[in-house]
Amino acid sequence: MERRRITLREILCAAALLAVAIGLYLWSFARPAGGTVVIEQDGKTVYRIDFTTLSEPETLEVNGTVIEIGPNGAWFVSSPCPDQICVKAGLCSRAGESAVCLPQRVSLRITGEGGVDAITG
Amino acid sequence: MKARPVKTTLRNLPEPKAKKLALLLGAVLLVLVILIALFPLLDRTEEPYTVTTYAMGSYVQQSVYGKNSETAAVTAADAVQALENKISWRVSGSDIQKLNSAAGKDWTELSADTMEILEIAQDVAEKSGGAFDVTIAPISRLWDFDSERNTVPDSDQIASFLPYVGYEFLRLDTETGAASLKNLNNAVDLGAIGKGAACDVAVEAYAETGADAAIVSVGGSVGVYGRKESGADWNIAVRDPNTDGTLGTLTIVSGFVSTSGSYEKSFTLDGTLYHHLLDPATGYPADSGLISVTVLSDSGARSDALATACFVLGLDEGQALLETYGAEGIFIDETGVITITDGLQDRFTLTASGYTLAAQA
Repeated sequence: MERRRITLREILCAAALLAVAIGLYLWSFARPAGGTVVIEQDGKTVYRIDFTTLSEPETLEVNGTVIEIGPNGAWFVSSPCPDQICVKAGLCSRAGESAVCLPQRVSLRITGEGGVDAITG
Repeated sequence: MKARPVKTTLRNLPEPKAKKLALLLGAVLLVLVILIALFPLLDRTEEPYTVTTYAMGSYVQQSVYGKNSETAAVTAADAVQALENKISWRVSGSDIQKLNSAAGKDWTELSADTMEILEIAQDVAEKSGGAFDVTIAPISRLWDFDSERNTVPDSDQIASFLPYVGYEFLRLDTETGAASLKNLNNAVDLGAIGKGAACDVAVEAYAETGADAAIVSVGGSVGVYGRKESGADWNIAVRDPNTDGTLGTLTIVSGFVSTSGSYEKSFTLDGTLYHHLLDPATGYPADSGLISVTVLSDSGARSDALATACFVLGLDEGQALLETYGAEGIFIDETGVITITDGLQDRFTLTASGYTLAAQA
């Protein structure tokens, strides 16, 4: 029996399959690890927002603090507390990053895998 | 000769069968390729239960994995609160308040938790030559960094209270589980060991409630329990002492991490930085050339105490102290040089700029 030859169509099909696979592979890597910000007040979750899909920044007020959430992450804009540690913490964008306002008992934290699990210091 | 039956092989497969086989193989290949392509996503399937509560004058941040994660987190938070009620000198009826008010008079019976912390405290105090000392209370109350009054106490006042600071004034009777302070003016403040001890009780709670894995941070002291399902190590960001960002990442498998930094509770007056890490020998903020020390050991209380001791002692004596405990550490001095002990050389990745790593000893 004569051996059949591989046709152009088959090569194209295989190439397309390979392209899709590589594309999927890269997409699953490039997907941002930290995409959700969890805002808590005194141990209770008050907001859980996926910020990667936000088209424009959102401003929230939680127990006197003002938190802004943009497509890159979340941060404390202002707080009535005396030390302003929460405001100085700045933008939290990677998974595991967090800012806490101790006097107001408000915290924001980026969740998801791929980042850090905790912070020391 | 016998006629051998014709064997069906790939070469002589009838056309319809060959087409079917090709289709089947193609489908299997497609599914395989898609699964492999999505492999990086598998890494992220396990989401922990996270919660931030408040105790010990700080935050308690937990990420707990496993079926019982929420119960485990609640149990751990309660355990930390219960510990605060035993070891805070501010809480009326606490072990430490009773001990302080019986100073110079009588022995005080203590709970097992408090006794255990005091034993660790006294051990580190002895081995550090008093660089870590829980009897600092008469002086730390003068400075009162928590009040944010931001004033420097009168030097006469510091001089008059300093003689009452000394770990030898605190005596422990492990047989009866009691402690006493020698003079009326002696007092104990567990502020420099309490957050680490809180990590210890949280990790005990995870073990008791059957959590799979967990990480807890109490005001910057961190404890880990178990291993994540993915098998990945725990990544702990070390705060940059000069900014509010991240200095680098420390990767650990088990244990407890604590950091003492001069940037934490501090104020600047007339160009001088006054921070909360007081030198028990002088009654003033320690001036050892370090701005931050991070310690890894097998106990939260010990890590916390050692971080403070190392900060007060400075780089050389601090390293020697860690060696006696088989603990590891990261020392950052005021010129931005980072010294890492041997056991952490491959476990710390520097990401911040403006720092240099000291040559390995």
